[in-house]
Amino acid sequence: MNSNLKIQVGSLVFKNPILLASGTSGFGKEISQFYPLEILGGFVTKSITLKPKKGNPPPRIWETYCGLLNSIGLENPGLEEFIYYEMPFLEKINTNIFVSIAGESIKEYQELAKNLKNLNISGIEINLSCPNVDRGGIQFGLDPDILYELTKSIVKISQKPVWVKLSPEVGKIIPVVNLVKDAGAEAVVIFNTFLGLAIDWKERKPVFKRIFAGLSGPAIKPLVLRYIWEVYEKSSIPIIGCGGIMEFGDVMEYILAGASLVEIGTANFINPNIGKEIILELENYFKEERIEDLVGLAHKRKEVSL
Amino acid sequence: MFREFEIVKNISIDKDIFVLKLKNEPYIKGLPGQFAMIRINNSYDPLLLRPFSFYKISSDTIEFLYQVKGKGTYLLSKKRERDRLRILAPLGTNFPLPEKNEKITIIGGGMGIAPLSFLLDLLPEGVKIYSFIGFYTKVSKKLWKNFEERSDYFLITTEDGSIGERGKILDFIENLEEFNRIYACGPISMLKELWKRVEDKSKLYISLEERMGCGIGICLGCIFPGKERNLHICKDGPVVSGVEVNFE
Ligand SMILES: Cc1cc2nc3c(=O)[nH]c(=O)nc-3n(C[C@H](O)[C@H](O)[C@H](O)COP(=O)(O)O)c2cc1C
Ligand code: FES
Repeated sequence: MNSNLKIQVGSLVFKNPILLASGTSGFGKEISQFYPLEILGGFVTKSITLKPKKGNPPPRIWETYCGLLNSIGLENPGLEEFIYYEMPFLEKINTNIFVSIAGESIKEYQELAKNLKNLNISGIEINLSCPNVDRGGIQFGLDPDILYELTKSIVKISQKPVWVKLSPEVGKIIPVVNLVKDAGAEAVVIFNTFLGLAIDWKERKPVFKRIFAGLSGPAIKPLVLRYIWEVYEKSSIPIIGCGGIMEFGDVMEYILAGASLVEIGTANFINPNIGKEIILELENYFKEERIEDLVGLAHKRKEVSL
Repeated sequence: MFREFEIVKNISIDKDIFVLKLKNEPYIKGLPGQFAMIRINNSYDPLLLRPFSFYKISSDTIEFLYQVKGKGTYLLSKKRERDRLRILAPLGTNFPLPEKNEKITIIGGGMGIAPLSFLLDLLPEGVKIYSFIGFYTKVSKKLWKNFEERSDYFLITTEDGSIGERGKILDFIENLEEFNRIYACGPISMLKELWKRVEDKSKLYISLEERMGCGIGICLGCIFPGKERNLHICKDGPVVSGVEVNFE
């Protein structure tokens, strides 16, 4: 292990900045057949809900140019099965485990946090991309008052580090990020998927039953990086970068733009070894320097272009 | 599990239909019904790996049968001898083999014949084999020779009657109950009709298809409604028993 890769975010220390993103590696068992998960800086579980969820009907995925649209619909086994069947495996892994939670009401998120409180996990990642049924289906991330209340209560109830994962739909990002910080979150995760659309022109109808679907993969990387840059400039909350990371160079871009950690998503589908391969490259690259010193470095070198 | 293989040949055996043959090194011990995820390009377009059922495996080579349908298969068809491909395999469930002296039927539609042909290669001596395979239109004999040679009874149909009987394959199978096992792979409409017609669903083994994002159970993209719970085709399948699925 290379200690130059070590980085602190909020109250937690990560052995390297590489995490696997929620919903792209399940609860870890499959990827652990490719490499031991303890080499990762951290692991974020598939989002769980209070009750089991069957998810959306097929088709659930659709390939686009350098990207992937998905409409999984949060299929997951629910809190109880998660604790019973998945936690025993996860809690043995010697790295930071984050449990991603999703709900349709503040109460559901709170109930989840209450039940996770006594588990051996590093923290909670709040997935905001659900419709809030108490407020006519508006996404949690889009309603500032609700977002503040939600974050604050999860921090309080869980007594663990809380990360808030934003969706690109948030619009003006700086007020949102500051609000989340004031509510006590240790970091923001930027981003969940972008809403996109595909039409099956041969059938002359939308591909997905839900019409819109989440776009991920290399196509979104430049879009996300621009937000990482902006948040780093204008806010002091630690940033977890997520979107389109496929290889070592992409991680470097995120770090230099201002992310302290990154989460790898879709790339796991294309290469289940990707987490390990990137960590090996980081170990090679950071022989002399400390990764911590490179976070946001590109901001100081704006004028150096040319 | 994710390794590089060298192409021995990649040739068209019929209009749009190719056989990809790889050196079986590092050695893969795949079973009929199981599949491989192939990385077609080292670029990000197309982004995802593509699933292909094993068509034939020997100690030296691995073969896949595929039809050029989209960008991925088109690019694959342009690969040449000695090119290398990254492959994740073997994946998924396989067709359980019958006992000696059982009477079985094999029912294939279109490219669904690929895993069934591999199954034929591995059937034990003494099994009585009834094969029924159907296509839209005339295809090269290379595609069905193995079925004709290895089966005790063989029937081929095309929807336009250009070879074999004219019509859909299921219309030519009268009694399904006489078989100890029924193996099938093909279009979903065919599998559905077959499933409805088989009374004892535990005798039926079908290989399912759905878009796959990962092939290893992490994207949850490959859903199929099951009897009691969702089936993920890459992990719970592609081969499932008739009792596990629900076509109602
Ligand atoms: C198939 C699929 C399922 C996902 N499921 C979840 C999920 O359950 N919870 C969540 O917060 N994000 C989920 N995401 C979003 C990813 O965690 C990630 O934010 C997004 O894909 C962008 O990163 P990428 O381009 O590296 O994939 C999912 C993404 C994909 C492709
Ligand atoms: S293809 Fe990803 S879960 Fe089956």
